Amino acid sequence: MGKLIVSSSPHIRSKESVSRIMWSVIAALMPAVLTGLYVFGLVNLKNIVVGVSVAVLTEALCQRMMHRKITVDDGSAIVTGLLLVMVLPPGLNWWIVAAGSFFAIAIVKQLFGGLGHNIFNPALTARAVLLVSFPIQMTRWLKPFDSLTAATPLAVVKDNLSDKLPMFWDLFIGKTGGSFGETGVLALLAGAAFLFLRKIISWHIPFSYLGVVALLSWIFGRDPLFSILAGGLILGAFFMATDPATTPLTKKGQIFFGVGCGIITVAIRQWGGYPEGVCYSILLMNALTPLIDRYLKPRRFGVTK
Amino acid sequence: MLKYRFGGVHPPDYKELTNAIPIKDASLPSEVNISLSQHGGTPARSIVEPGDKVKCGTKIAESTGPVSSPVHASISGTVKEIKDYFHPVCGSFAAINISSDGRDEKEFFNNVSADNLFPEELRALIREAGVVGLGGAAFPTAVKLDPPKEKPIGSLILNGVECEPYLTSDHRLMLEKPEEIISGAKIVKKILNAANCYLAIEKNKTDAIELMRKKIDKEDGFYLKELAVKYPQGAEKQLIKTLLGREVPNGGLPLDVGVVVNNVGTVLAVYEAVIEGKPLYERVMTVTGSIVKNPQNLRVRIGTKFSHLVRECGGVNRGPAKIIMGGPMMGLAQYSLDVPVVKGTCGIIALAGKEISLSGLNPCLRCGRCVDVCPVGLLPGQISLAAEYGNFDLARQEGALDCIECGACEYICASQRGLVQLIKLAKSQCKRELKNG
Repeated sequence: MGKLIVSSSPHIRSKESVSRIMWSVIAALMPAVLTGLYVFGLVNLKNIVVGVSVAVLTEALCQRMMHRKITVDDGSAIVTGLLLVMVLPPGLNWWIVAAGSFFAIAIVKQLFGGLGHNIFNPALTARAVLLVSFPIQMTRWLKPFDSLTAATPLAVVKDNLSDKLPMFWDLFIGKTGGSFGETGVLALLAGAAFLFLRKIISWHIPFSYLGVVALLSWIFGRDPLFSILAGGLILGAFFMATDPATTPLTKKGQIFFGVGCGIITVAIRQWGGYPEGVCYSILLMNALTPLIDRYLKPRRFGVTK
Repeated sequence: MLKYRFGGVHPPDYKELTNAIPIKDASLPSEVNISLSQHGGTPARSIVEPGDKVKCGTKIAESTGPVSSPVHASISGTVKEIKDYFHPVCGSFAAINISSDGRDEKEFFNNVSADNLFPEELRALIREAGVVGLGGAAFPTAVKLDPPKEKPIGSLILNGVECEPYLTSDHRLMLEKPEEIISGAKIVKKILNAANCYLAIEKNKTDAIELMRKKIDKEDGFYLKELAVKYPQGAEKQLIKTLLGREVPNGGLPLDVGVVVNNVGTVLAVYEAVIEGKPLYERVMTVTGSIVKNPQNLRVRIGTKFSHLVRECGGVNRGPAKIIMGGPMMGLAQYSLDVPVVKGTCGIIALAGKEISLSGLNPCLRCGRCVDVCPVGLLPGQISLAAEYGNFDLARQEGALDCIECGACEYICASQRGLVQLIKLAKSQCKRELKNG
């Protein structure tokens, strides 16, 4: 008998791991990535490569500089890079993508402590920063199958050009203007279904989020289905608002989070200056997450109020 | 079917390795090291000297306080020495070494008729026989059966859940000693003057459920309760919640809600003590794991070395390995095979290679899975972070002391974070601070 290993219980564990989660998310994003490439052209492949590799390199560099273990193989930097490209306009200059990717990893993730310690969603924060830094490039939307620019469906609504609205079916399959990875609702839902099946995400955030958006849209006299299909809501609800690091720990807290996102999204779409509801709603709720975790705790066994 | 609703995990149970193998008597060891601390209560005090001849069942150490339990020789032979030996829980502790004379002579109590005994007398017998809880914690049973007068016990729960993976000794006992278990339970029920007795079994033990149901149907006030399979349903307070819907108040004991929980192995020991006059000098345990050649359920003398039992099962196929006393979720990894069996040893599990989970101070992803599975409603990840940063006040506020150390959180943790170890650290620090005021 060789040496005996001694460590604390438990002595067995499930197959759950960070890399299994991250690689599942990457796999789940693939249908939407392919849809984006199909709709907006293969040239966007360059931005994907830039976004992902800058994210990975930045992560490795930061971890090296901070004397942390280099963990780029867990896939989390790839997820961030990929998600960032998906929320940026198709055909964006590659160096803007690179700057955003660097910002997301270096500032938003690593400077806050690395995996699990960041308060804000890195991809969305980077997007918000790019939007204020490069307002012109960041709001130039491409028309599907075409390199001409066109308004996104939400912008169309904002400007009351209702006769130019796309059909629901076009929204559903992604034949509309918008960010590179957010328009293919069908593809995104397929990926989300995969994440549900693998129990990587639960219904609490996305369903409370979508439910509130639908309800409030209906109250404000908008078409609830259009509100759900248009813009980045599906991508945001299933892939951004479910980011484990920046969302509440408890199911109760997650529902609260989703409801908050829904209210803010509709409020921005209704009264805001530009259609940025999803991105800011999630970032604002990210900021509230520590508070939500503090006040919405599970009921402790044997403790009565 | 009943099910504990809060948290929990479903680890693969590996019970098929041993659940169909009848209990076998382990061969007599040439020597035993019987620890004066059988864990649970104050250690016993030796009443023998080196050179003394003892028989199997001779009392060799007596209890030293109200929450203490005497210890008996588990083989016949000569007391060689009393010194510190490996102890599976304490690391090192005073133990009595007895070398066998190979004759296995027995010394039991005088046979008495249990029917004529008062509860006090039954309790005294159980105490004198050194019966302790055999589910793992080894708390003196006589103390558990002596609740304060102002807290009457309405129900006795027999714990046959055995929700830890790998372990099958309780399962085999229910199949092989059903009548004795029920008789033991009746004695306990009489002592407590409890109206009902619930036997809880997880539904992965179909044969035991069927058999016990048949036997219990004839008994008044006995009920069999089938439980869904889920870990950690067998924990005392969780079991009470599942069966009776009562929640033991925070910091309280089962008797606060009128319940006593006994393991099926424990009531069997009660039966043997009272009816057969047999002190607790042996117990049934499972020796198993993927690298054990012939996993088995063994009846083992207290003080037998683990190495003897592993040999008894054909040895191990390969190493290096992890040797666990108890189940894989809550058991303790051993640093040597020289450690002896104590009364609370319900199994020995040998694991190797990929099966061994090693966790570290990996960053918490905040995924909340630990929160979902925690059976007592804690935020294990948050407590572990507080402990990691040395903020033990925060750990206590977050409920570190309520943790039952079931390990469900770490089992599911995506970061392979050493949650249980960190929470154990927080608990010991909090307790130290409370003690020092």
